Amino acid sequence: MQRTKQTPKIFIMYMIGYLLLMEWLIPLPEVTNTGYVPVFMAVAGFFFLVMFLQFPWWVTLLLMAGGMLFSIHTIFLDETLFTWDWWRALYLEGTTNIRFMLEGRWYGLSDMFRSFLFMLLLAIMSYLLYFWIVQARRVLFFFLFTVIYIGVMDTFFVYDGNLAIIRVFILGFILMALLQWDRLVYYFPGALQSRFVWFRWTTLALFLLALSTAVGLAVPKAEPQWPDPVPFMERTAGIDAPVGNGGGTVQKIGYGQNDERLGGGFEMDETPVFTASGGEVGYWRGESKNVYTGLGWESDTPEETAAASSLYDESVQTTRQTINVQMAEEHSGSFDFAFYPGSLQSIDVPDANVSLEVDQYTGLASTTALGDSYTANSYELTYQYPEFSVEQMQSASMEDPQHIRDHYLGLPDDLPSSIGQLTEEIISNENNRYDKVRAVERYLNSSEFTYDTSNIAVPERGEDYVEQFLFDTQRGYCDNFSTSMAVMLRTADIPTRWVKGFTKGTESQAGEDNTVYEVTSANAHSWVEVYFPGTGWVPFEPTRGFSSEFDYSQQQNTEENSDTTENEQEQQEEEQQNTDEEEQQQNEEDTAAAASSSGIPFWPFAAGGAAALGALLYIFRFTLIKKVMLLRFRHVRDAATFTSAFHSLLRLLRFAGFNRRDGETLREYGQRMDESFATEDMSTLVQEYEKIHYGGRREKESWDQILSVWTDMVHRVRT
Amino acid sequence: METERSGLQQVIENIERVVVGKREEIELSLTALLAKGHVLLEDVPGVGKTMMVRAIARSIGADFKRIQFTPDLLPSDVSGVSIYNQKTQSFEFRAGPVMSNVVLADEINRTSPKTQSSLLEALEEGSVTIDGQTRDLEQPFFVMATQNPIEYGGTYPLPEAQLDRFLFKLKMGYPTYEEELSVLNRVEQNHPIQELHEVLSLEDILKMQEQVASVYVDDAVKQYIISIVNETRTHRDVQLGVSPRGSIALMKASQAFAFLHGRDYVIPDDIKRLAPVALSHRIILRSDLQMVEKDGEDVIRDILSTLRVPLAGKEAVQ
Repeated sequence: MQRTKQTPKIFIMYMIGYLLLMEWLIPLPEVTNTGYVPVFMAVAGFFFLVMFLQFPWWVTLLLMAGGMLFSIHTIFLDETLFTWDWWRALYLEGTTNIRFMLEGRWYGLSDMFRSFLFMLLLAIMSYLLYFWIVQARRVLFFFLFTVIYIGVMDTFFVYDGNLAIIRVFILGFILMALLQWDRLVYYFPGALQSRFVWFRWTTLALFLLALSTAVGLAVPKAEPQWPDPVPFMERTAGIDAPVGNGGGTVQKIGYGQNDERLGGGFEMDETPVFTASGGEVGYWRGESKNVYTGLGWESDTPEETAAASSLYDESVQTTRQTINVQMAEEHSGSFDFAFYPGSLQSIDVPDANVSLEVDQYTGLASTTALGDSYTANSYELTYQYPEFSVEQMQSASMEDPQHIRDHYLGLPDDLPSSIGQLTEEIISNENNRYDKVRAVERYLNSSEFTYDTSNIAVPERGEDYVEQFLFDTQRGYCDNFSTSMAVMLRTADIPTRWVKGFTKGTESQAGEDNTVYEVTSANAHSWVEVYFPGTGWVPFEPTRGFSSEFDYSQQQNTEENSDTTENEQEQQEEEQQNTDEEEQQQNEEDTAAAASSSGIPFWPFAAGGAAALGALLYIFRFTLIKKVMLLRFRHVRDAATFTSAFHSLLRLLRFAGFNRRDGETLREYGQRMDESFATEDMSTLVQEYEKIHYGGRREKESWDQILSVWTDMVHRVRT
Repeated sequence: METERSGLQQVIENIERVVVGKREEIELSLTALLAKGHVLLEDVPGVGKTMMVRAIARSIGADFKRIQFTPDLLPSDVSGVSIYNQKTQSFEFRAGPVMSNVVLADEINRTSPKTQSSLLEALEEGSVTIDGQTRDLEQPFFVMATQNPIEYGGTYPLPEAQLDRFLFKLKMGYPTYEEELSVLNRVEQNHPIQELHEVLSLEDILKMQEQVASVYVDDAVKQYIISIVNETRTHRDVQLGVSPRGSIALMKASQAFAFLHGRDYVIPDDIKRLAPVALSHRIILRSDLQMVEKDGEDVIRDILSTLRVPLAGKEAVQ
């Protein structure tokens, strides 16, 4: 390394470089589990000082090593400095970690060793910055990368880079102004000899910097034109957005576990989940959730399991039925619980002693064998299939048991009051719980709402999922409808819970009394259960376009009942009037929850790819045009082809910025081109062209030679 | 073709031994000769006009006559006269100097219009009428007339209609320093014109004049000629534009020029090169412009530099 005369100015510049490097360290504690950053800063400062003083290389090495050891000691070692134990601890650390490194066990490296490596990096950086600033006098790249680094830290991590970016800009510009001065002096020695020029230069630079900083701070700043890129990247990379930090996500339909954050569109997926054959099926129940957070559903019910589910009171008329379930290959081993119609009584798995543990609050029917969870792929379910009596529900009391009130009436404190007001309006004319529920169900089934699965909004922080759907978007799928119904009813003190599972599936008849249901991911669905004292949990279907699959029996002898019937008939007629779109939806069904696998949208990639391709084409357009030309005219066998080739060469030249001027003959133009590209090709070609078109000589023995001249000329053309 | 070309090249080189540094003018003069045209040289005396004409005449083995035009020159002094021979008791025709292959008409603007027109008839018709009898001139017939642009006192400037008879109007210009030095060196002992020998015969020239007529002119070139001529008719500085005779002259000249350069087809470059010398004396500028020292040649160059040269074979592609 060439020795440079060290001046205070060089020291100042080098120290600005140090400060820039420190901007890299500041965010570290916030984004990694790095501690002791001041120690790293101090040791880096020490390295810079050692570097600046330009000792002989071995002194520099020794000093740096000493600095490293001392800081490692400060951070990690309890032993007294330079004692036998101290050395031994160090030695052990070193050998162990080097062994880990050689074995590729990167996670095994100790903090101490990583700190050592980091300090090594800082030492290298001190050397690099010395080279850039003192030797090369160029620092733009380091400056740019610092800016990018701060930008990335600010965008992707919690680190707030607002101040850092200002500091970096000020430091960077000062440094570049000083270096520019140095380069000027180097390239134009003597041109700037006045003693005060340096002072004036610096003052001017500082003044401009202060001015631009002030302007930069003062001008209004537009809101970001793009949303936060993080959710987008997470989505495209297939990472689940963390709760409360996501934008709109597109998911694949299916049955998932996490419902804390609902919303976003989804894509259809016809992967089979299971097939079943046997008795009657309404919906296949998975589990229910009871806590609405404003963004999605969670569960906080106590764990209380039994061997069978008890959804309905004894007074409900039920039939005992069995059904055989065969999990599809794609999903074998996916579920350690059973989906069941009605109220599940028992499970029978061939060749295994499997028993049920049904959560009494959520209804989740876990399958266990000998106390461990068991994943059954083929089993027979026995269940009670209900038929609800409308009269019983209409006449049910409003007195709910305490445990129901405890768990199924909760609402977020900040739930917008508009939801309650709307519900009040809807149910004001009804005087019993059943009719109220039906009124809300009808309201959601009305044409005010649209069933759609794509481009569904996701509530941002501070927005409410239900409010957004009811008053803002009014577009959505089952999660929107079912959650809205559950929440609306709760505002009217009606206990509800949100249930997810599958719809019946595609029904087909396989022999007498044996219906086969084929359930795919697209059948995933969510609905609402409402508690009626004396009846139990009764399912309702608020999603527009879905008809209720549950049996509600009623006698048509009271006016009220006939009202309801009419309503139901109206509803059914309306559904029949609905177009194919909705029939299709019947088949496509719905999602129940945030799916575990996120779909990757195609268009951003297509657009990005097209843009990248366009940019590439633009950058290499000249080369590309030449390639195409050479390919197109690789054979020239007659005058017409040669003419085309010649004209395309003229166009190429024009594209390269060499226009034939007004009044310039072809020959003059050719000579000018030959001068520009140091050749005689163009004149040769022009003469050939003249011979053909002014001389009328279209025949020629061999075109090879002229073609090679042409090819050579095409190669020579540069912008 | 090649033999003729080499013959012509030899003529040029031959003349260059006498006239230094005037290759362009020599080429243009030969072009005029090949196109059966005549040249008007406009320049001060002593720059080698006479030498050039004499050298051309010698190189092609033609007889050379010089007519010094003075105010008292009569038409018969140019074309010849019938004299009564008392011996034979009949009129005998004494051929004038115009009855020659190469004629130098020196200071043509100094003589009376009547005498001028007797020469100009010869230029246009290739024949002279003496005593009611039309006599054909010898072929090839090449006249180089000179005009002194400085002295206008007692001159009869050629009317525009008569300028039209000349294919080119040329200017010689002073030689450069090196050229003049070389001129001095050459004439130090004896004049090199004495040593010039014949390179081509008159028959060769006649044959070439025939061949020139068959030089191919593409439509694109013709279009170029027409667009140049049209421009002169609409140019804002021009009072009277080039007539169709000018277009014909330019095309004929371009054929000869192409032939001189060994081509049997005309290219736009030929037109572009010849248009200033072939057209500049065929336009009349607006009278107020003569004060700003802009002449016909400037206007023609103006037009040439702004007019887009049409490309032949363009429609073949587009």
